[in-house]
Amino acid sequence: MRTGSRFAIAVLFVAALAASLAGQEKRDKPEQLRPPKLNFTTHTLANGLQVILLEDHAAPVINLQVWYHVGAKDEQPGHTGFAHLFEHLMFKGSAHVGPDEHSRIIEAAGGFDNASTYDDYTNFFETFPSNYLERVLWLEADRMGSLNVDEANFKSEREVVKEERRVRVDNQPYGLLEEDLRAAAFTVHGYHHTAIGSMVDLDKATIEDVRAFFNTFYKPNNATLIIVGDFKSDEALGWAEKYFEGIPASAKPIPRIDKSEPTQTEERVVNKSYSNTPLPAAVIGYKIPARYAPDSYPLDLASNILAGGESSRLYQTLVYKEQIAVQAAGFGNFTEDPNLFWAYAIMNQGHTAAEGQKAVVAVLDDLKTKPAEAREFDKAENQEISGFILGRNTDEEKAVALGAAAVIGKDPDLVNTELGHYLKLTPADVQRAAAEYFVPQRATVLLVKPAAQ
Amino acid sequence: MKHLAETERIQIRRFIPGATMKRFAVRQWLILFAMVSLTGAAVFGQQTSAPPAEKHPATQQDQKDQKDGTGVVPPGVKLVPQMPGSGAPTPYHFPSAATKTLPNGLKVFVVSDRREPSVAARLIIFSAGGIDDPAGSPGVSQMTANLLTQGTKRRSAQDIADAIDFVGGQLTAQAGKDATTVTLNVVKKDLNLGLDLMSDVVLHPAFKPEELDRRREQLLSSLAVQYSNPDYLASLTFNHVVYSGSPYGWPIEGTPDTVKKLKSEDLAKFHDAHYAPNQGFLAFAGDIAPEEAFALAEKYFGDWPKIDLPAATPAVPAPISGQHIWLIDKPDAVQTQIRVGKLGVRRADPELIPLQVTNRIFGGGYNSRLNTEVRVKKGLTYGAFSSFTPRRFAGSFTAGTFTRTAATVEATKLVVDLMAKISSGDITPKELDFARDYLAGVYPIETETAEQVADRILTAAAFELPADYNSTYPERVRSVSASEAKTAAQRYFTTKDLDIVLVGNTSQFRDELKKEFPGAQLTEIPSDQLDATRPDFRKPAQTSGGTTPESLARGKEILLAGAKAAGGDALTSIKGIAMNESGSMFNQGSEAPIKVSWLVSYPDRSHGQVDFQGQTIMQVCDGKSAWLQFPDKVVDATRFIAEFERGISMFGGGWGAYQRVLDGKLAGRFIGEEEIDGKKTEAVQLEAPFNSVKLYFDPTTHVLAAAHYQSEGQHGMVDNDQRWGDYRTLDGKQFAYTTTIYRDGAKFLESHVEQVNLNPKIDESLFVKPEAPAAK
Repeated sequence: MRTGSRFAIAVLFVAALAASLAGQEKRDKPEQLRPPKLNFTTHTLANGLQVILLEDHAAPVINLQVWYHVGAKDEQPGHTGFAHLFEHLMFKGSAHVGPDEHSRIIEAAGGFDNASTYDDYTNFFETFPSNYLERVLWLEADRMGSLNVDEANFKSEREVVKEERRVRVDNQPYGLLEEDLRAAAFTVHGYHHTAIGSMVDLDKATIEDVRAFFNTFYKPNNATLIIVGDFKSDEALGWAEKYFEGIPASAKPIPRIDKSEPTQTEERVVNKSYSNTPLPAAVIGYKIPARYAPDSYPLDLASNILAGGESSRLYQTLVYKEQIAVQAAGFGNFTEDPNLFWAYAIMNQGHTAAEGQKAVVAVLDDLKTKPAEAREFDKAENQEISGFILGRNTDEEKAVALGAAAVIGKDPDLVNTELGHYLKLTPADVQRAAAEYFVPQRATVLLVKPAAQ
Repeated sequence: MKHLAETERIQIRRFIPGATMKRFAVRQWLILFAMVSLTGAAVFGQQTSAPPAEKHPATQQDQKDQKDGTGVVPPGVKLVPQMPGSGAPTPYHFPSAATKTLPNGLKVFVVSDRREPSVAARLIIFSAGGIDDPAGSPGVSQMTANLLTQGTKRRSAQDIADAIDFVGGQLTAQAGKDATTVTLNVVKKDLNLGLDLMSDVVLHPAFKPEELDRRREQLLSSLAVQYSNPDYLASLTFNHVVYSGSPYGWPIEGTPDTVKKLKSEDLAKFHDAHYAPNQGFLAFAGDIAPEEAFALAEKYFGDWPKIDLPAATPAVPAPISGQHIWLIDKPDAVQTQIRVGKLGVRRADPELIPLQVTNRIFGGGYNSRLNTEVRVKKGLTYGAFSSFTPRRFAGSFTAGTFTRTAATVEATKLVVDLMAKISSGDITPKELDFARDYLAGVYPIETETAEQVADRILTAAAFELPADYNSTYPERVRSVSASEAKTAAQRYFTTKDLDIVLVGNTSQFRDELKKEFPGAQLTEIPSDQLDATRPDFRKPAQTSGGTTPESLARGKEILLAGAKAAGGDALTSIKGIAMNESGSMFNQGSEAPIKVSWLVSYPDRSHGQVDFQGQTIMQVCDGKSAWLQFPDKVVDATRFIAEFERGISMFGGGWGAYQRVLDGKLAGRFIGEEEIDGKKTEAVQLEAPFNSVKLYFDPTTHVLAAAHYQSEGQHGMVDNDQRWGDYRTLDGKQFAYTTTIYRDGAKFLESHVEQVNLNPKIDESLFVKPEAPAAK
């Protein structure tokens, strides 16, 4: 109950003091809020298919996902965009399901489906009324076991993907920015290119490539099945065995491109100008460690300090106080192999990209020179905790968390243990990580100037 | 991503959100930035309104014909050929909500769900939507909402951001067409803190001018990006033309021009008049019991005073007749954004449910006719979709897609032909089943979280839908008959009266389009000439074009009337003016006194002694050069000489300009009537040497009321809007004693004349530029 502003200040002061004390102690206090544990089970079928089951009977809904451990980074040079094109083709028919019938059957049940292709994996997913689980398992098994696409469907879908590229990249303000940053930052690793690929490479793809890709990567021993929602685990597992166990594991191990990126030794600067980008921008990509690596946690907390809300440092400095940028943020793109921490500013009119680069670097430098104050550090940790709670509301959100932990982290239990890695950290850990990674010899700088009209 | 999800379509449109940068938004933005990582999945063609379902007739589903695949099973693989049936559906009932109305009229709803330790609180203020924006000022409701979290009577913007960020929560406010929505998401233990903030920002926002300036700058930057985004331009144009003449057609975020003109007083006024608890709906969803929620609602929103609101009666848009094609030319586009549509139905119209069923068949999902033909069969696009958008007083129907420039006409024609085909009422029983099954069946999925349930409940309450709307929705979807679907198709999918919007590289398809749509009326506007505040959707013509003998004659007439009203030929006897002005300069919300002593020597010399913040500065123009004289230095200002000259011509309400007009040395052209500060004016754009200057005259008194011109500010060109007032008779002439200048919409200078002498003795030494800094 607030009675006056003076009291309000006192309350805030006490809260701040308590927070700072908490910061000095350590944070495995029993009263600290934690997200509810996800009580899943894991199983591995005889053919190597990993199965993860999490029951939640609150609503008669299920989210089912199949994650294939293959993504854009597994593409050979000259074949960029292929993993994603292939993802589209997984809807184009198999031994017992006609082209586009997969989606039609899901929709008829009152559900919806989609898929996405990332650097490291490709996931296919459906959300549907819970009494259709068996049918959806059958659908996924049929395309895993017998994908069969004809030439006409292949060609028309390739045109669809080219339209997808136009709407997301070529016709979109700042759409080319990520491609250009990655191309400069990575010289040999597959993260050099993005999942959408190039028009030239897409045009080169053939139906033989489709078959080869399917036979190489779309195997049960390279897949993880995740089911979250209203079902009984033993029944689900029985159906998984019934429909998937007839699909043999690959005879050979799944091939991996082993091309690690050579150590960068100096700052790279790239200047670009795009026709549909009216505001200058400065983007810096710093090479950072992989997802779930020990240093990913302090870097993620650094991201909260830099860009966690309007009270964050980049927003306060560049957007609020100096008013030189319309947007400024910093976040780690944590993937299976080391990727980039993005720190960027999109400038207001009348300010230059170079000015943005200087201002962003100054904010990062500050993080390197002194540890965050206790309250600011606690804020970063609180954001992490609430992110775990608020970000796991739906069956789909839970399934994605399980998929990432299992496929990228190789340990599904990371969904329950990962937060602990954050809560062990101190302000000094964040300072050290910032000082180690936010340095010019890890940086690729992309300066965007609006094109002259 | 296999297909474009509805939520993603919206995200792409908001590529640079601009307004807020919350933690989760940062991550979302990463996704967009790293767009080809293709993350985030959702429903394609998700309906704006809720499709619910109670029981699923699963047994029929099993019998549905299974379309065979290739039948080719690779060697060594064993698959089950027959599609399995479905199990018995788990019974599902739309969750009920506890409700209560507070004495001030605020309606409170609680949906308890204790699975996760978090609570969402959502407040809808139904009297504060974009349709409540003052005429000609779109963007007021949105800026009002966006500034709520930017400072209250007792908290600064930084205090608010820090408090909500500290607990890892989110507090956001957004205006929509019909309502403003404020949403709080926190973990349970921080609910009190969150509600205290939420109530403070809703009840006691400060609307500080410096915060408005910050948001304005951000929004102008975002708009600069959006005006390069074909998807945004397509929506902007489509809304303008379909909701023509109604506030529903105004862009909720405003336009660059209206945003520049927003004043903090406008926002405070909007807040005072429209933020009414008696039009408020507050829902709690999550880990909270009803009694606890009601007590919190009373504690934090009980003191919110009721407002007597006039009945909302916005102008209802008029349907068009015939086909009208709007071409927005963007020569750098590689793909064309296509929108086709017309008016639809209001939110409470009972025909909406049959329309949703029919729309599902036509363009509501991946397997709709539209997507099947345009994408799946022809490969012309990544997504083709249609939807009804039902609002409180009006609604619209949109079919849209995008395709490579070369395929523009083919895709447009296909969309229109498919509409024509379904409007014949030709819908198969199988299609009808498929659509009804989906809409009824997807309902439990779309109400999976308490927050989703709360949204449905708020929608039903605010739009005054029947009390059982949500719980009976699936039944009513399933009961839509073939004849109802047919009637809906015949009434709303006809193509005789249609707006078609195409944003792209028009020179590549314009001629072909004219051939394919010979009867259509065609309007083409370059993308950099759009102005959504004008009925013709186009910026007024610039000096280079639009100068006609008529407009020049009318301009001369107005200028001469102004000169006559100010004193006529007697003005030419005025060789100079000496006057003392005092007033205030405004910067970022602070105000500082300023005094200036002017000596004007017509036609082109001026000397101003400025006393400001303890400094005395001379600003002098000798007709050929200009300079600023500080106590310790002289700075050349000759590059601003045009601005000095314009100032000289404007003193007292335009005396210098009138002298030139009377001498036949200055002309202007009439550019139309415009409303300034609620009063009608006649606008004249001046020719050289004041090309960019527009003057606005009072049509009754003929005196100069206002001017618009650009000048160089700290960060590039700024727009100035100057006003004159307090005209008094001086030596038989009319002299304006007050003037106010707004710079980029914010008040910059306000001053009044304390003393004037006409034809003073001119001290020529004042116009001699000092050789060296004035010695000290």
